Amino acid sequence: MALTETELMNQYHNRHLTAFIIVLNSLKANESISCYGMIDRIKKIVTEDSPYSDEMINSLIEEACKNNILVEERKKYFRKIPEESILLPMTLQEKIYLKNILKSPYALLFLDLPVIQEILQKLSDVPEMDFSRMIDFTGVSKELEFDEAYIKNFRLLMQAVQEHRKINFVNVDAQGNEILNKERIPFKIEYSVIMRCFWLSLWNQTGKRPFKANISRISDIQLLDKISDEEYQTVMNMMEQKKELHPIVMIITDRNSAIERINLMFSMYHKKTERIADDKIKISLSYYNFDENEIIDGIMSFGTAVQVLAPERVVEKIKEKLTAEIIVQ
Amino acid sequence: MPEKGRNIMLTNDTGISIIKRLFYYGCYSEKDALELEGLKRFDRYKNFLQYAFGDHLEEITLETSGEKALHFRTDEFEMPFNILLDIYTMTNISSTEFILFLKLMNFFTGKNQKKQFTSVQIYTNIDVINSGKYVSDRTFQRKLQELADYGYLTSEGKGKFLYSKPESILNALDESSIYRLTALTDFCRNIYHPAVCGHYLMDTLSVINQQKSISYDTLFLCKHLHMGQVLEDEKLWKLLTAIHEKKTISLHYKGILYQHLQPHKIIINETDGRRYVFCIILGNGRNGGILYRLGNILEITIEKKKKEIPLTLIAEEEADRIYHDLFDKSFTGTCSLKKKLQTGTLIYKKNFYYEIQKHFPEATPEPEDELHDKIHIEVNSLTEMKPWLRKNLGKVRLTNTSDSTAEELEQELKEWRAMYGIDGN
Repeated sequence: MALTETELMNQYHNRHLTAFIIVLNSLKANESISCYGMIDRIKKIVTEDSPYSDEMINSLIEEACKNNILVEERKKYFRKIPEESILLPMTLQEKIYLKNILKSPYALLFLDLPVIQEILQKLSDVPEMDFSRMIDFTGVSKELEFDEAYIKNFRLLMQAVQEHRKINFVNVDAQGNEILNKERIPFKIEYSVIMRCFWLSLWNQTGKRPFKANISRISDIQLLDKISDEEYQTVMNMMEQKKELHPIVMIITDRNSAIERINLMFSMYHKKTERIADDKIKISLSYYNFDENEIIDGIMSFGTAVQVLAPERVVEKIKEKLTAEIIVQ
Repeated sequence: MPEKGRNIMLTNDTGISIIKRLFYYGCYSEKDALELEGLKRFDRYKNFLQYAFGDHLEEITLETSGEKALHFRTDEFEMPFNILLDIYTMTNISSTEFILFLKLMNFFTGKNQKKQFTSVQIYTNIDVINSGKYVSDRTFQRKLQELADYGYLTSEGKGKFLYSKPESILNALDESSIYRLTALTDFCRNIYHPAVCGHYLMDTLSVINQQKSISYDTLFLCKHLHMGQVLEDEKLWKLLTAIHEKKTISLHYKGILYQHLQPHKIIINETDGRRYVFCIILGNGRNGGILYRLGNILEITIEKKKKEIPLTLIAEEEADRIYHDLFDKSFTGTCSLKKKLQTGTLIYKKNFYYEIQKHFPEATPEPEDELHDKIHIEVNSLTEMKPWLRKNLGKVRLTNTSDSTAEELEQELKEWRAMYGIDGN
């Protein structure tokens, strides 16, 4: 069958079906589960407050019993062949995608070359549909090249984030000074689609503030002890408190599709939008302080189509830019 | 099955527009409902949207107008992109399909893994009962073929099917490699298009992770994502397959039907999030190129070969040449050359050279004064440079333009300052 006749949407990729299989696979030999137990486990995998879940799962259990996948005994359910796991096979689209990401420059950050080659070998009968030849990106920085030291650092940092471990490291600031950072708590690895580079998002326990470090400027990483779940949660809560109390409030006039463009640009941020006239909307955008300058740059690119009303600090920053030395008149 | 919604939402333009409003604007209000659905009820899809977005969806009253609205509450730390991708796992699936799928996966587990079966043999072995009735063998055969088309089963010809085992690809990997492959997929599904394919792969890996007792929580945050792109993935997939299989397409664009187009390249502008397809127009004696924005395409059809229209596709190298001739001098990469190149001079602070070099790597800087250098530029359109010039106000200035762009920017700056109460003097 030609690829062109396949559709991307696939009803078998259903969140309840996947959750149902996961729960079935988790049942050990002779382990029984009640209907409520099943619902509970599935709901932990899918959304907790799904209004359809109970009814749907009941109907699934009923059909699974009729079809001998589950056996019912006094309102308890057993797997018919508990020793075998049901695995979801990959669709053709998934295999094509997997082949593409394994050939991407990012694959080496995660997997060793022999592993990549081994999987690619097993995908050799999958069509060579090379996305990188068919898709061009504009408005982005040059793709990074990762050397051995970068890959080693990246993997150490992934481990630190995964295991909630504190780290010591050295980073070089914008002025070229080497700074020793002690006992920082890594939170996530952050990637910018436009700048095509990775940062480590961290929490500085001493200064009680979040900060970011460009991974290409990090060296001498030492993994320290794991932090407790309670301590990690406390850090997360403190991070949340670093959100600016006052959102950026701005009026957008729909000139050159400014309304669509600004909403697309800021679609990752938490915001409320209200239409206040046929050609005007008001946006209240909540943000973290460390993103402020970047947001202001984005706003500036719209010129007079966007007017910031609040907070005063942001208005002042824009005024500063507008009155900055006008070069070479 | 009571699960409703995704097909309704994602297969009609109104549904997609509602989701777009929620994700782009954060709100879907009574006014929006009137505009998109012709009625003031903003909560028609509330149940489905609540099912899809859980705690992220709330009902609010807007400050200025007092209108009621649905509001998508998110945070960049929560990766809203993945929440949107989840919509693609909310299919309308009938109990027949659900159980058939489950029974087949169950049947091919264990001792039947490596064997081939005809559809009749499978049918005999796994009587599929739907609401107390056996599913007919014709329906069964159709469903098997559908599963084979998706790639879940391998069709071996003569009505025989083989289970397409995931473990045949991943069985040699140890737990650490599975974990890392999951992390790679999780990262890539946010940045590699089409993201929906990556999300599906992540779904499949989640079952393998569970089976191997691997626990994975996302390690990543992604910045500068344009979430609405996901809703164009269906079109993107169709275009990619047409490019790959060298097929022509027709498309409905802004109310006009365009036929006999040879899709050649997808262009994604990551600064503004817009995606385009570059096509060669065939059949009029001269091969020209044109760019269509995916967001404005209503429908794409892959054309079947017709004897009465013998179209000859042009070679990839020739299509590449046309593409480069049209777009190489575009500042954003998405504005084609009209008649002739426009020119101007960029004067910039010396420490801004890194940014200048990124856009004009071949230009030779000349000194302007002690603090500034300048370069002369040639671009398809000076207008498309405006957002970049505004963003970098004070660091770079455009002057001596071959059209009125420099004067327009000067005039705009005056109005801009007045908007913030800054004295023009």
